[in-house]
Amino acid sequence: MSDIFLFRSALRDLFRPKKLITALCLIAFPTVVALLFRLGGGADNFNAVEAYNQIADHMIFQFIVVILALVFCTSIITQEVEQKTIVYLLTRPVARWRILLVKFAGAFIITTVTAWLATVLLSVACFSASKSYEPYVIRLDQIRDRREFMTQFKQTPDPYLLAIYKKIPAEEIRRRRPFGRNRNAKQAQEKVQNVLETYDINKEPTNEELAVVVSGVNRVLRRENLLANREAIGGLNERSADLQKRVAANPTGIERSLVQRAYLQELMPNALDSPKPIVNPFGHDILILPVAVIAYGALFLLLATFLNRPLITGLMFSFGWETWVPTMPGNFQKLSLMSYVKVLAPHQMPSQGSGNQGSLVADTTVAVITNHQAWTTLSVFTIVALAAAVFIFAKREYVPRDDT
Amino acid sequence: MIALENASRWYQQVIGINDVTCQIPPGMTALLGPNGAGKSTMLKLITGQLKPTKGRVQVLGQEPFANPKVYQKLGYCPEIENNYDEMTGYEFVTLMGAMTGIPSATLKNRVHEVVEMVGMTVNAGRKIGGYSKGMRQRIKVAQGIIHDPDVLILDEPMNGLDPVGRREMTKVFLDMAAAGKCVVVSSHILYEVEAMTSNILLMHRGRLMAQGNVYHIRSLIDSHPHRITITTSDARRLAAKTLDLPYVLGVKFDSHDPRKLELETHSPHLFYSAFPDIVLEGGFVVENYESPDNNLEAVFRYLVNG
Repeated sequence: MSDIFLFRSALRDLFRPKKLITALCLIAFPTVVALLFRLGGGADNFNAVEAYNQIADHMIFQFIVVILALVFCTSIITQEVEQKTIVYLLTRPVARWRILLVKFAGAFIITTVTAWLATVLLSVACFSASKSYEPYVIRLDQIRDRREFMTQFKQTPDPYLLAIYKKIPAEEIRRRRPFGRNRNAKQAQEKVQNVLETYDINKEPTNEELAVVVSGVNRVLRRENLLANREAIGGLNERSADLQKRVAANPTGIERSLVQRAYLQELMPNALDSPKPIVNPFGHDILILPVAVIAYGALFLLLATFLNRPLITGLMFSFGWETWVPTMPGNFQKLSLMSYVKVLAPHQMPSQGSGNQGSLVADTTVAVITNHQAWTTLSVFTIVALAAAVFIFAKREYVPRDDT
Repeated sequence: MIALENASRWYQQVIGINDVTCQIPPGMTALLGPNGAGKSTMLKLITGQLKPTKGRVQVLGQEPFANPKVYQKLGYCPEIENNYDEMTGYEFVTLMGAMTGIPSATLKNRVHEVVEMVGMTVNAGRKIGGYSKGMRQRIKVAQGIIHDPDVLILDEPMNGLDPVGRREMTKVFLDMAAAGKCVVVSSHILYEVEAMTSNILLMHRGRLMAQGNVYHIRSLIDSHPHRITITTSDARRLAAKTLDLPYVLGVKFDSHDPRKLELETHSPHLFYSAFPDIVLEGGFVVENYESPDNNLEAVFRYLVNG
């Protein structure tokens, strides 16, 4: 009985205009970004899954969940202390652990619902536009035989990737600069050349070697219109009827990239599999969001039980430690909650398709945290943090100290 | 019902209360002391918001800190003005009532009952944010008595109330005390509590100066000279008359205002009862008379120095 009333008042408290407006802005934020992506990139270049993954990961999981959990879960205590009304709660015949947990339940629900709304809106914004969920780049899980893949590229007579189309003259390739025209592109190009020159075809390629070549290929796939000079492309009439038809249709945008990839795949059937369809992560995200919320919520609640200004500490932790540590290689990343959340809610980053070799290397390395470890760690952490919060809350004095 | 045993509480360097030992019986007790005397600290110890640094505090035989068993029978009206501003009075009292475990079947009736007792029936539907000081006090009292507690602790409950409000609230408190509850009212104004009870705890600078009957405290006060200032048309003749009274210790004239005289007595009560006769007999026109000492701070100065 008393719990219901307390819970209701906790919910109402979180629905104050100020907090509501903040929450609504946060809900709309990822969607606005997604729409800007769509408009900015043009309809043909917008990849829904990629955009969703990137925005969900960076804005919903790493920002909205964390900031909402911080604001809502610390305010359970700090707001009552600040407005001094905590005295009314603490002089009632309701055990303190109960007051804390009931209010925490309220904050948890509000935070989760807000994060859900943001995710739903984001997915609508992304997936309503998309023609295809399929990424148009070579993905690591597509490479059936790493050695074969590397060998194919090494053995092409021209160091340029474009030479996979054999008959394009070298001068033409040089002029067109398939890697792009900036300094970065030049470096990437040189790196691919070096790796291919030094690669020993009798050995398995290292993760880094593979990552360099894959990112190079993807760069070209994204940028180049290799189909423009159709006569120059070797062996088109040897390819499948389907592919010939698609090339003949003069594709643009994503379809062009897809055709190019399909072409590549037919050229090296032993090295490349068909891309596995990417599972739309939306459903999975919805399931994992409450897990992330409760873990962060428990942590911030704990901070609020013994710190006078938990917001500042919480912000430093969230946007310092928690954004930096998960990007660290090796066991160090185990010290961040976000690392575990990311294992449970993986989001494929477009870095796989761009020239970012660093993150490709990180992707190819064996995951430091297993799914099982992530579940265990997050549950144990949540329970311990909540228990500690309850313990401290039951023992500590919460009296505004402006009077004696 | 309430017992403090050598209870001390300090905040780092600042002493809130210092070595207080007392028992508070059922009935009405006033906790009296100037601002900063430690009244609120003592009430916070009794209501279990603070833990004593030294000594013991017991309410109904139990330590009150975070103890739901004590809160079941304890009502508390804090001195803070802050409240849940976005709730209505009804919502606030209902929440507080629900939290004391009043079953939902009777809760609504009980809320209306106490709201009426504190005279807030008209305003309880409005949001607390728009309340005046007096209304805030009344709604605070309502939440304190919602569960009909055995012990009722009221921290400065008269603040912000108008005379009508004071009388009404006093009646509520006295009814509770008459029903055998232990009611503690803190105040820094002597006359406010004199009307309510003769049982007084006197605090000053964290220490319990005196406990007991108000007459005892009165006599403590009376054993020190008490000054009364009188403004009259014929100050010198009145002075001569008052000097005849054995308990008047001396008379002084104001050098700036010839119509003013100040006399000292150790029995102000006797003087006040004799004063009307003197005025009538002598045909004096008294414009004003007041006692600059009749505030608590002055009394405490006497007690501390004396």
